[in-house]
Parts: sequence; structure tokens; C-alpha cells
Amino acid sequence: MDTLFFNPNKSYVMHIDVNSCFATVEQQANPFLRGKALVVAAYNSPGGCVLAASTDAKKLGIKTGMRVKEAKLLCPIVLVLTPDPDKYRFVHLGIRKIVSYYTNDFSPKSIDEFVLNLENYPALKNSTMKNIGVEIKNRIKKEIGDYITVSVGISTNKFLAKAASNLKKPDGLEEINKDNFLEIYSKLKLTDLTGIASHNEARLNRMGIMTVLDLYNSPIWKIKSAFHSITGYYWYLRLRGIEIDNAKEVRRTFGNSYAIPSSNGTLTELYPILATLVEKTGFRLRRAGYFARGVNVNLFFKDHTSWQKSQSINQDLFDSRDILTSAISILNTVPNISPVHTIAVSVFKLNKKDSIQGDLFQDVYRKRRFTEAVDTVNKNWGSFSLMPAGILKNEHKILDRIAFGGVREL
Amino acid sequence: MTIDERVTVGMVNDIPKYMIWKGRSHNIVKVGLRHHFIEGKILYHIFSVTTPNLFMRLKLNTSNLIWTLEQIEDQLT
Repeated sequence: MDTLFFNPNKSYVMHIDVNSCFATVEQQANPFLRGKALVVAAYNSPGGCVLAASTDAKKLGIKTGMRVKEAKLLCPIVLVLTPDPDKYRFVHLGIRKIVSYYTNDFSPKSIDEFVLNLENYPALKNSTMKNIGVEIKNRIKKEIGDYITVSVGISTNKFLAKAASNLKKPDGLEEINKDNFLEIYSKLKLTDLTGIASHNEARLNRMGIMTVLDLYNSPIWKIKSAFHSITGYYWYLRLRGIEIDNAKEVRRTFGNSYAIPSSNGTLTELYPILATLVEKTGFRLRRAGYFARGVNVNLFFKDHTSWQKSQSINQDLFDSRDILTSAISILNTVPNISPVHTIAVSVFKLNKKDSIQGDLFQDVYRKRRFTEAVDTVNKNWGSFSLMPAGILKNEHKILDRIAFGGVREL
Repeated sequence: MTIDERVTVGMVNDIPKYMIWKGRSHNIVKVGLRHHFIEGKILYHIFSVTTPNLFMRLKLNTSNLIWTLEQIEDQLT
């Protein structure tokens, strides 16, 4: 392949990114918050993690991932709101409905990001990608909320479409194609590329690759040496507009976690929380039609250390009681317990099947019918209408959350 | 401020126009966002609305048509 090659095809991939999603949605709902520095944080406490900062908060240097106390140091009057997941899901589904009008080939990458492929779709017959981008932006304003802005990026592959959407925020509409890629690359830093943070930047710098243009101009062997893997080849292709990020995402785990506000560092305190987390995980596992053959428990301690252990099981797990038995037996092996910051449980080795194998020593069919009955009650009357008595001891309210990148269950 | 009190809401063309709380009527000038969610079998509609100087969050329970004022904030929040 010619070193200076760039995919000569027309751009058919569009990346849509809702600007400052959670914060903008809050400002949409409450017009009095518009033009103010506000953050949506996991908890309204000094240690709470900032999930989204409004455009005005970003101008003051407040970023996603900061602690609330850090945001308050930068702006003492910053408003702190806690998440309202139903609101964000509603906006996500509204945008999903709009983009589905233009193409069937789209995937939500997270609660605030969509990737569309419009190749061979009728929407492009009498229009251009840029016009469709403008149309989608206008429809979002009209049909969902006049304060919600999105940045649209267009290119020949998903990676560059995302890079294009990052070029102008908020409310951008940019394209990277064979005619302008060199000019755009010359203005970008390595860390502007999604997937290159300080660690990867250092790897590239060690090979003498200091800029995006250097990376583009580097031969495959050099980039592969920098990354010590095939990843280097993928970067070579990405920057030339070739699609290599088309792999379908496969569900590998289901899990839930909880950050404990004040922990006394005893196992007794963790059991009811674990039971609640397992109940949530088990319900999601069954609702998606999966069985699991492994359980993992993870503890993050206040002293910044962590412990985790997995257990593989030689039978299909679907009943929360079985998952809990396994999770408790794992938890009981923790060598040193100290105050816990976060506890997480997940199930893995997933498989999807319609029927379940019988067991000589227990009536799995009866167990299946029982879990189905409990799930039906909880679906009809709300989560935790029926629950194991052990959960009653849980004094912590495990809030509804939107996982980063996770929209598979919407 | 969280309230959670039953209120009366007047609608015109599916848009809330006024809300009566504690015998006092508040004119609604803007609906910022209207979203819904399902809890168990019940569909709830949430209206995030403003009067000239207040923000209010109104919840409509579609199974019994009861309106609840969930939250009220002034402009200074």
C-alpha cells in the first residue's frame, strides 16, 4: 500500500456526539440552569466523580472524571446535580428514533454517541452527508430539546468520523476526507486521537513519532514496534480511512458495583450489599436470556489497594441464590479486610440457550419456574417487590446508573 | 427542594398550563423537557416546567391520573 494513501471512497460514516450530554439534558429540562457552570456527579459529595460538565463549566477547566471538590476549587459556585438516568435514556431513545429514519445500519456507542453508516441508503439519494448532518441536528433541537446540541463527524471510517466530531465542540459538523486529512492531521496532537493517552504517546515518542502527521507518515514496522503488537497495523489503516473497527460487540459479562459512602471494614457489612448487587445482576442476566458459568467479586479498598477473585462453576447459573452462594464463598476468602471503597460482582462465561440441562440432584426446572415467577412479579410491580430477606438488612440504596459505554440493555 | 405533594394541573393540548399547589395557582410558561419512565406496570410522565421565576418537576401517574409536585427550585439555585 502506498505510504501516502487515503481511502478514496466517499464518506458514508457519521458519528454523532451529544455535547456535555447529562449536563445539557439537565439544562434542557431546567432553563434557569442554562449558561451556568454545572456538573452532573455520581454523588453530591466532595469525593463524587464528575460524570459530565456543562459547556460553561468546561470553559473554567472542569472536566469529566474530576472529583467534586476539585471542580469546586476551580469554580466555588459550580452547581452539582446527581444523575437522573431516566431523563438521559429518554433523550438517547429520542435520538435513536431520529437516526433510524435515515439508516438501519447504526449503533449507539454509548448513551451519548451514535455511529451511522449511510452507504446505499435512500436518504443519500437526493442529499449529501453534510445536509443529513444538519437535518439531524435540527430535528434533535425541534423534536427533543432546543438546548441540546450535537457534534457531527463524517468520514470513511468510524475512527475518523469520531475524530471529526471532536474537531469542533459544541455544535460542530466536520468531515475528514482524502482532500483535507493532511491539513487536519497537521493541527492535531497525538493525544487528540481516541485511544492514544499519555502511555501510548510515550510509546510512540520513543520511536520518534511526535505528531499525528509523523504517525501517518511512519511505515507499518515502526508503528508496530512502538505498540509491540498488531495494534500498530490497525493505527496505520485507521489514519488512512480504512474501516477496521467493524467487529460486533459481544456480551461477555454482567455485573453491578456500589461505592460505599462509609465503610467499617467488616464482612458483615458487605453481605447485604453483595446480595442486592447479585439480585440486580441475576435479573439482568435472565432478562437477556443468558446463563453464566463463572462469578467474580472485586473489592477496592479505601487505601487504594484492591482484591479480586473469580470462580468457575460447572453448571449453568441463572438463579440469583446460586450466584450469591458462589459470591459469598469467594468473598469469605478475602485475606485482609479493611474499609471498602467499592464492591463489585459480575458473572462471566456467558452462554445463551433456549433449554436448560436437567440435574440429578436438584430440580432445575422448578428453580427456573420459580425465578421466572419472581421476575414477573418484579417486572409488574417494580424492582425488589419480591426479594431475598437478606437484602432487607441493606441500609444502602443502590442507585440506578448508566454504565460508561453501556447501552446494550436500553 | 423535594416536595412530593399532590397538586392540580391544567393542560391544554397535552401541555401543562397552570398548576395549583396549596390553593395558589402558578402559570407555566415553558416545558423544558417531557420524559417518561415505567415503574412496574405504571407509566409515569415527568414534566420539567418553569413559571416566570420557578422551576418545577411534575409527575403524572397514568394509572390513577394523579399529579405530584416532586421538586421546586427558584432561579438562584
